[in-house]
Amino acid sequence: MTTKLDPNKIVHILNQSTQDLDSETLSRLQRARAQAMQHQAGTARLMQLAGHRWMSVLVPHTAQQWIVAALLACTLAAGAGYWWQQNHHQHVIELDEQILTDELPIEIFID
Amino acid sequence: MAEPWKTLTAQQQQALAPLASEWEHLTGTQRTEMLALAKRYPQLTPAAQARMQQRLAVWVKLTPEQRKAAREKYKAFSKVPAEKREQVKQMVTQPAAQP
Repeated sequence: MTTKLDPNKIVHILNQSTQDLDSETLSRLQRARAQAMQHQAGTARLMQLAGHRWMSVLVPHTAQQWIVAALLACTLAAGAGYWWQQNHHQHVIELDEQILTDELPIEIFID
Repeated sequence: MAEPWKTLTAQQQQALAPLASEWEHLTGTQRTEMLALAKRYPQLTPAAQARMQQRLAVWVKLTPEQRKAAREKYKAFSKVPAEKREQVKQMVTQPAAQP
């Protein structure tokens, strides 16, 4: 015979069983529950604050902030372009040096 | 910036000695490229320095397109297996060594 218990019945049974516990055990359980609830509330609040703060920092809200964000993006793009160009130029110079100092005559590489 | 020959350091003038007579006729871009090569000159072996100086006059006269084509050929040749590269090197250098 199987007995199907719905959640409400389980809660009722658990509540009834707490009445069988002695007062000391009951108070310990209550204190532990309160501490767990407090800890969970603190953690959840921290996560909420951290998320909200990061969102406030990263997402521009005013026109001025949008302009600053756009300028920053342009500066980063220009810096990346400059870095790439310098890197490319350095690579070309290294290649030229290899061609000019290779044991093979330069005419082999020139049309 | 097109630097006149007189303003170059002694080390730069030594590295670019083959270009002394035609330096003033070089464009700013050409001078910049040659100065970048001169900067690396001291780190080369004596044999490599000699080869660079021998070839500078030819290299500087090439058009940018010719230099770009030469770089592409050199890069392609660098990908050839070492044995074949050595064979080509011997084929090219040995006839010159023979009397």
